[in-house]
Amino acid sequence: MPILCKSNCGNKAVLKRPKTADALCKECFFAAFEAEIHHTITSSKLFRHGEKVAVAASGGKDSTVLAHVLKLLNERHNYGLELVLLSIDEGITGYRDDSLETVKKNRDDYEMSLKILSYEELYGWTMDRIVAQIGRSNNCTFCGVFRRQALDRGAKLLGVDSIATGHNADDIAETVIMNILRGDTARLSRCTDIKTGGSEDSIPRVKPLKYTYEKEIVMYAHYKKLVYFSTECVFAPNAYRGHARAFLKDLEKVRPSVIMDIIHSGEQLRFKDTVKKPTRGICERCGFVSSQQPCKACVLLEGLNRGLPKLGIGKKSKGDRMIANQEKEMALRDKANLVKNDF
Amino acid sequence: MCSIGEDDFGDEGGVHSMIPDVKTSQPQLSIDNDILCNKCKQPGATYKLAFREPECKECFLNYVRHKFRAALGSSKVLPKNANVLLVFDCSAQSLVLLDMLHHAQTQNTFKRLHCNATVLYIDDYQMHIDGECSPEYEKHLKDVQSTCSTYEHFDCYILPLVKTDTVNDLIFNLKYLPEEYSANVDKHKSQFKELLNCMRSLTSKQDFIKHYRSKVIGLAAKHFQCQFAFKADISSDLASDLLAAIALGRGGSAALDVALVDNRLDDDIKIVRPLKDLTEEEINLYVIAQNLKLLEQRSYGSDFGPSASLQNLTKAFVEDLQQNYSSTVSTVFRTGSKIASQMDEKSELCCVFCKSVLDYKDSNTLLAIEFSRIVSECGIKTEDISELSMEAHKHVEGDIEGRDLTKVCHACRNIYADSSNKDILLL
Ligand SMILES: [Zn+2]
Ligand SMILES: [Zn+2]
Ligand SMILES: [Zn+2]
Ligand SMILES: [Zn+2]
Ligand SMILES: [Zn+2]
Repeated sequence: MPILCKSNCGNKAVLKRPKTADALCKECFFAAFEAEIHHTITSSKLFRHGEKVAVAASGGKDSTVLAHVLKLLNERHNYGLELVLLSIDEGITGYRDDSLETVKKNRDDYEMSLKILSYEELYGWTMDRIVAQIGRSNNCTFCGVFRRQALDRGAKLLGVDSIATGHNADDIAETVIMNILRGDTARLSRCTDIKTGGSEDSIPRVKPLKYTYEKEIVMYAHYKKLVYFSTECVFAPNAYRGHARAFLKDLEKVRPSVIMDIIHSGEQLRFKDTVKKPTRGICERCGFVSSQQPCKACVLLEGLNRGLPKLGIGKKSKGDRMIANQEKEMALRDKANLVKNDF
Repeated sequence: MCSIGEDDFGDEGGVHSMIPDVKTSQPQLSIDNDILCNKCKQPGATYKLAFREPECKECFLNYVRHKFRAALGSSKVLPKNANVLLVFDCSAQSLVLLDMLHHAQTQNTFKRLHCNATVLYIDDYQMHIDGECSPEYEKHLKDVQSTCSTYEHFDCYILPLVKTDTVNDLIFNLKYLPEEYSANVDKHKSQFKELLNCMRSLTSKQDFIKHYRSKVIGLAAKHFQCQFAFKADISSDLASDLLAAIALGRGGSAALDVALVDNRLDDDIKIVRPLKDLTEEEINLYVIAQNLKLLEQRSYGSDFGPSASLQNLTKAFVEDLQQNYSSTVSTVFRTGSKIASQMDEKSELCCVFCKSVLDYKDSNTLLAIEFSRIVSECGIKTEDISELSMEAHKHVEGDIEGRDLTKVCHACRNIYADSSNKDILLL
């Protein structure tokens, strides 16, 4: 006896929705999945008619589904958006090469224009070369920091009104737990925001998949036969995120609604006035948004160029000491040269 | 590379690596009597905490007792000669609390802590026992009695955790525990079990018990005319309570779950956690130092394994961190102390069951949850999305299937939804 679709559409159910545990047919799942994202976009007022929106495209499942659904909803509900794909080439052989092919396929399938920006052209360094210099332990810091700024640079270049990223509900819940584990209250207080940035100097980032479960994204991509690149990051994520992720997956098995409940919890947290909040400003070196002077990207870049790649990985004071030491050494060497030249 | 990676670095740069504990082979309690105490320079420094120099027993006891006194003293929570209800639960930390409070009260006048304490054991052991009399239960009661009798300074009472509106008839002095106590418990017990069985998941049952227990503490405190109820939670308990609260959707009240003072109870009764800054290691050493006899403690559902409920999972997660990344547990605990409570405007805007501030107003996340439930049932027949959204909005506002849940918070609605007894929260 086949199970019928919960919506009484008369079809056989082919799947159980991870989010609600309802047995649905394929068509009803598509309808519910898309309606939810539309509902998120409208209830949180993510876009305005006539805006130009960059979809941050990595070739992975999240951004592929995001591009697909945004195009579809834009047409179905007449959002009046101009959608473009924005992709960052970090320069990782074997990972980015393949995923960029996927992004190019997205471009053709969805008839959107595509802008690819590389770390090479922005910073003069590829991730391959960075890894060669610093080893594998801290490279997610580099790729994270550079990527964040690269998207901002790309968005400015394209003149878009906002950047839509593929962060899904699992990512956000995971980030809430991660920020509790490492005691980062500043990020804890904003990691659940569906829209960030958007002050005079920064381009807003929006997360239309904030309430979409990762499992459903995979399911949607599967039944829609969307092409995506499924290799995980070749470098290990940081230990906090690793722990948070494993913990969240266990929690989800016990109670699937936990993902939404954690997001809700994160949004309800308030912080004591004594807790410092970082002030957002503009980096005086590169002109992009930052809570520090100079910004993280500039510090990391300086480290690479000075041959002190650990600069910016540790605390700022430590970094300052490293620079001071190096300058002292160089000054000594110069002096030595001077002495030599005297002879 | 991961697109979420960009959130992963802190303001301090990449100091986002969890630091595993360095395992020392040094035992906590060494037998070397020759080492001098770092504090008083006398031989016999046999007490060694991870972040302290070796010290003698007296200096160690002074140090941990000071933490207890400092917690109470720093915020001046306790007025002189206040009536205090010490909630005893058979855990090692509650033995320590009992011992410390006893010590603080038997000091000479200068150092004495001036308060009038009554000890209350909320007996949840009986929930694990089927039928009236069981030898292990009788033994358990004897053990509790004998522990309490060593602190003759205190009056010690027992109250079974059962379904009740008034605790007056259920509270007994442990010294004169009547024969019919277990029979009396049995009468009320079946009703309580029935209630628990209405809920499908252990997660809901444990969450229900936690808040019901608070309510019972409030009733008992009122019975003894105590304005304060001391609970023995230590930092690792609170780290796991914080994470559990987050997982249960109780972020709005999580601050009070881990604060020194929780003022959610009715009649202006305050729950106080004077041991909140103590660690498991300090508790263990204190137990050794004072030669305290550990009791068997059983909490509902803890023997069903880590994956039986969100709370069990969280507890196991924190225990695992404690084993390998103990500094992360302290960080979680400290994160908890940076969260502000929303209770400042204490008002009628509180949940009828857990007494936390209602948390559903203007929540797009809760709207998304409700919308999800509704749209799943409509599938391709979805015509007017804004109509479904209106319906979802009504649910968020507490109008669900004709029931009025306007005074129930989100997490308690999860208990409600999980229960076949729709009056469960109105107890
Ligand atoms: Zn269907
Ligand atoms: Zn900069
Ligand atoms: Zn990465
Ligand atoms: Zn000493
Ligand atoms: Zn509640």
